[in-house]
Amino acid sequence: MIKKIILQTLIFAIFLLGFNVNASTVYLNSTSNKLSTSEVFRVDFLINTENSNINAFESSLSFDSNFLELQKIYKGNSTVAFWVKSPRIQGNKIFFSGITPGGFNGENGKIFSALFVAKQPGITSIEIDSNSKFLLNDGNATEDKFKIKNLLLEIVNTNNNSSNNNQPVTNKDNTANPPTNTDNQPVNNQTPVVDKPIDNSINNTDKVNPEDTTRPEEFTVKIIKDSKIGNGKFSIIFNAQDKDSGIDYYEVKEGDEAFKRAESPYVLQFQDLTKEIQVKAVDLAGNYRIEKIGPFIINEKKAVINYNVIIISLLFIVFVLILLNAYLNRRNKLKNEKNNNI
Amino acid sequence: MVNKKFFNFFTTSLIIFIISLFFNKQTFAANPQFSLKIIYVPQCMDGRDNDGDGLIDYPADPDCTSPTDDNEGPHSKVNLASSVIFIQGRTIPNAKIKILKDGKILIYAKSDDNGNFSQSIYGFYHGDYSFSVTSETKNKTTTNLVNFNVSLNPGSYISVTDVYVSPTISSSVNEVKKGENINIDGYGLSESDVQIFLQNKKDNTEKILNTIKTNKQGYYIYQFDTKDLLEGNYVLYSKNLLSDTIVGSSKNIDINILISNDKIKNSENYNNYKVKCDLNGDGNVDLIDFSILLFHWLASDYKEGDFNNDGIIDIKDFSIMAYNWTGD
Repeated sequence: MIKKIILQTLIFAIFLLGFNVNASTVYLNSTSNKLSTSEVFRVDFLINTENSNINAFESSLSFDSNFLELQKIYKGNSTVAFWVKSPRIQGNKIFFSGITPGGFNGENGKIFSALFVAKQPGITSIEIDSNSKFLLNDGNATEDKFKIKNLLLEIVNTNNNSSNNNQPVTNKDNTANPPTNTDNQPVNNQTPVVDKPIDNSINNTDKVNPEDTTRPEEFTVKIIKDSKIGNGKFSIIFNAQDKDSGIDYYEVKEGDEAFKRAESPYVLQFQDLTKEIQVKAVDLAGNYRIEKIGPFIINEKKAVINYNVIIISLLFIVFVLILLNAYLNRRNKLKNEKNNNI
Repeated sequence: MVNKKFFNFFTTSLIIFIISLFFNKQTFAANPQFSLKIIYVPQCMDGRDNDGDGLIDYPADPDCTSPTDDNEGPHSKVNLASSVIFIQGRTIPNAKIKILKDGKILIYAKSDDNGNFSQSIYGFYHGDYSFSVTSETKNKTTTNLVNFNVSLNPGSYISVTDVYVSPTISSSVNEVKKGENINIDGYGLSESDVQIFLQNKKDNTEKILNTIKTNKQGYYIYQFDTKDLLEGNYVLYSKNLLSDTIVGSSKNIDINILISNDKIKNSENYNNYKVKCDLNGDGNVDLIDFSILLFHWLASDYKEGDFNNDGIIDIKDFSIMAYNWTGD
């Protein structure tokens, strides 16, 4: 009897964990789940927060580099306002973390998109790290419960899937198809058969990569001097947004120096601030916007004319002269009276 | 026999289900809440000349195929008109209101004597935007951010109404001996009810200390006697009610209750209006503070930025900063 109760409890505990209404769901949505070799496809990393309000996350995606090759990462139109660690590839993993002040509470919130090329036939997957952190906007950084929906992909030989190649790539927007759930499913890593050399050209990229002819949004460059950054040297901070392909990189130019790659915060080379500072935000499509600040003239040796001080000084001198005149007049008057009396 | 088995089965599952819901409720009990309504008005019934041809809406503008058509211009052309977002809500009377876009200050506004505010913002084209609204009182305390995400198409008009900004809260001390009083005050909606909550960090339980009425200026004050509390760490926060509905939750403030022979360490330097996570001391939590914290990523020797005192600057500290964000 006790065994039965324990068994029932376990069964229902598992059932109810899956039925957790408050858990966020993080999932991957692909433009296509059945791919041909050399086909370029886009994968969106999305979140449904249910009723939670998520303001920070730290996660990674892993993929099998025998089957897939990462082409590009798009950060445009993301729910993330500030990247703590912008999505970057290390080996066969993409690491990323970021914050959204005030939090995000909604469905199909895109964190970023990645463009992959299918390399070899077989079945493979892109998986979200189960140790990811999704933190609630509660002031205590409470970890939210979340469910993961990984992405299972089937790659077929180009010749075997010619009909599929001719079909337009569907689901170009961010509408969430029911994600392909590979939870607890063993990935069948079939030995890939190489039929043809991998073609890295991204001829069909346009199908999955929205056209971006718009410059990044206007942004502010701020100059700061804080002991906690760059040993108290003058630095600049900046953060631009691009709603299409996303910001790819920044460049900074000081005076007549050439533009060079930079990240915020950036410690200035010329600490006297006499050079104009330009910051260029470049999106993934190559569109850019330049914002400028300075130069700031800080020259302590240069005399500073303060007209208020001059006027007050002159008034004081006039006042002293009037007093002196009055004193001398009175003294002369007394002297004259004395002489008259004599 | 079958019925008995089914009964056991059903009872067990029901108990587990109730326990599961209970734990979920505990996790999310302190989340800030807000109420908002997004009305999307198609271009052909928004009362505006979106395409600049002098004709407004369906059926006056022949480009409109129906009142629900979202393109007032010629359908063969891409619509590149600027979008408009209209935000309307209620907050603390005569408060300075900051409207943020993607975490950066976009525009300032001011609430009237009753706390009402509205603002139209132009100049957006397309994309998903995160807007936030926060209020600042006379004593520089700020409310939680109220966030809403909108997806804008070119030339669209989006109305966001019933944005209720959360109340503020501050306390006279952050550490007291058991039995001493704590003065709690703050601002909320004018002449509304504010519930003050106390959460025990140890067991995550919480209770309502009192429900207070704010005055015309939205001010409330409450003196809290700690004689019935056990030693330990607590969190205080308040919720604003409007017609018995919770419309906003304040930020949290930490309170430490000591036993009588403990020495109070830091209350002498306690500033009840100090902005948490303001690393450069300029009164704001913004990109500068974010940059400073980022500079110390994974550092173990930067106590000012270790907001959760776990010995390392990591994503949890950034989460606490995002919660306390004020913009510049």
